[in-house]
Amino acid sequence: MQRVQAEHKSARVHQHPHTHAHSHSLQHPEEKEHNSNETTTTSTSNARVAASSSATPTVGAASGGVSGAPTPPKSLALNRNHHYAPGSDTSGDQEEELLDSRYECAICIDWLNEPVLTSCGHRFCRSCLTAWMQKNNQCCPMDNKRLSAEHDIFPDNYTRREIEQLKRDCPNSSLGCSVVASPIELHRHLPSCPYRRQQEPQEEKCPFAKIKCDFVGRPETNQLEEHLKADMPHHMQLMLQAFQQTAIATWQPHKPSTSGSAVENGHGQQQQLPPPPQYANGVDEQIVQTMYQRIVVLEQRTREQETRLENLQMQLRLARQQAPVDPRYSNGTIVWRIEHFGALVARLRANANNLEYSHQCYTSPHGYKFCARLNIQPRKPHVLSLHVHLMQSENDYHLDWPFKGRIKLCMVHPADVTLSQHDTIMTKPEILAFHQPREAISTRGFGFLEYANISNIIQLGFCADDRLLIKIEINIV
Amino acid sequence: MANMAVSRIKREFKEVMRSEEIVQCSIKIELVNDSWTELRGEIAGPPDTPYEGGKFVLEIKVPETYPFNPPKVRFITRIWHPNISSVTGAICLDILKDNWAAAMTLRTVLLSLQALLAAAEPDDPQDAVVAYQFKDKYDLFLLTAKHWTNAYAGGPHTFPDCDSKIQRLKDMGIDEHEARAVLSKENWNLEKATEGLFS
Repeated sequence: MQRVQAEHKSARVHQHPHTHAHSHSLQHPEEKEHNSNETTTTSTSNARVAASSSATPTVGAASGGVSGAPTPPKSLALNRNHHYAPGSDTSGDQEEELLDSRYECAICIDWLNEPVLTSCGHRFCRSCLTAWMQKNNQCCPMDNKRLSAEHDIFPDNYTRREIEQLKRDCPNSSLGCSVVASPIELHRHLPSCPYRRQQEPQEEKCPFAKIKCDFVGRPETNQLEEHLKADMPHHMQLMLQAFQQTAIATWQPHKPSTSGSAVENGHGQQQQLPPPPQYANGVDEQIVQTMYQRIVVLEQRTREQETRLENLQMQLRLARQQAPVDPRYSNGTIVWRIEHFGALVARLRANANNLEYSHQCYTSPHGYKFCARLNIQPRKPHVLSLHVHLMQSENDYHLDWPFKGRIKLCMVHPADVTLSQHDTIMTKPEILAFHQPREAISTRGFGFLEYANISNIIQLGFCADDRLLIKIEINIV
Repeated sequence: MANMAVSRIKREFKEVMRSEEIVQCSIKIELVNDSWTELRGEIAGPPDTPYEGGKFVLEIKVPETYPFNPPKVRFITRIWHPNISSVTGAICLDILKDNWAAAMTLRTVLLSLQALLAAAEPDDPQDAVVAYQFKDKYDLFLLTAKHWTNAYAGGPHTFPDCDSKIQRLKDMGIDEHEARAVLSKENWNLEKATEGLFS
């Protein structure tokens, strides 16, 4: 059905040639519609004919009812969608009034008021057509034929009398108004009708309006229905709020100074007044009151907990940023990032007493404590020395001495791990560096006096971004 | 707003609500605000056109002088059509401009727009780029229009080739809509589109 209709429409578009040099051929769709109601329905699809045939009897009755007036066949454009039967539509309000397209002005889509007829055979209200001619080109709103205000427009008194003869009850007849008049007279009568409703139901309010749902829909649409379907959670929330407010509004604290615990336990309400009559739904006010108190207490507690949680999270975040790894839990590994390597080399060369220590590590939480040290010997300024030092710790008293284990040194190449330099040292009991330290950092270290050539380090690209990475793993064996 | 405009729009609204087309889901209309000055229309893409299967949303603004002046109508849904701007949705249709007549209604305007989708007028274009493609590379025009219908109006035809080219431009940091517009303009030539975007 849809398909047939659309083909039919596009075909119509093609039929119209260019009439205006600059524009498309899509003009006067309204004119086409009027024609299509009587002509195209019979010539196109069967479905359309079937659909329109159901409307025919009603329209026939309509024209029969209009005092058998002879109507010009060309203007007998059947009502598009309105099923008009005289005298049967008086119950609805004015908005619902259905009108015969013969008596309809195409400009205001309302009853012809002081109808005029154009030379091209179209009727309009006098005021509507005058307004149109003043604003726009001097042409007919229906077919764009040129019209001259003096020569082409005539009062259509015939149609005016036809409309005047249509007598209908005032839309407020059900409320007691006994006025019977023509549609145009009713138009004038309605605003002053003594029986008119105070407010015409222009808007449909939501049934939840009482609890502050401010939705307003148009009665002629299904907006309200959709609103009721879609906004159920909102309505539930409103109901909850309304309920809470009822509880608060009707809650009369017996003793404002009573501490929370007393009320929580249900004491202090012994002499409470009987529940006010608002509680017709049988809710015990005491229960509501206790629960309300309880909610306040719990909410307060939740808020406190949230704040605490937030603080803890912030502390954790800060802790993570500041200390990457607690040395106790470093498992004997030092990952030593040496920033500004160039400057460090210069400083170490400048004075042989300048030493660069790494951060500390523990072989296990209760194990040996170590650190590493870099320096440059004055005799060999091109070579870097790397040593590992035992450190005094709170664990020393229960550990076995001397320390026995394996020390792996690795200078990590930032781009290519295969180029990284690996060295492994095994401890020997006779080496003093592995005996229990007598100072905070053992004065004796163990490692390489000539660990690496500084120019090699730089040339081989270990020092990207002026940063050197040395990883030291110390394990007990 | 002028009384006449409001009462007319109210009547027209009912006309559309009762029309056959709304039963067929071919056109639709709804209110946007309470003052009846702004409405939202929807038309279905006509069958046997690249717009088939798509739903196109229209912005309708009713002037105070309605019905003596035409309503202002614009496509909100992006569309690839010679008489509709692919950027702004502005429509080139005579009845919405000089050839407006007071006897026309919202329903006939929507039906006319539907007819415009079925019968483009490339010699009087709103979007010159689209019109040029329509006349010069009609196959590509069909593909592009179908692709846009799919991307913006829920049409059924997908074009993985188009999507992958758009994705390529998105990977370069281009906004999806811009990428689609530029590629459509350059007849889906990725090199030219890239050149145009980055030169």
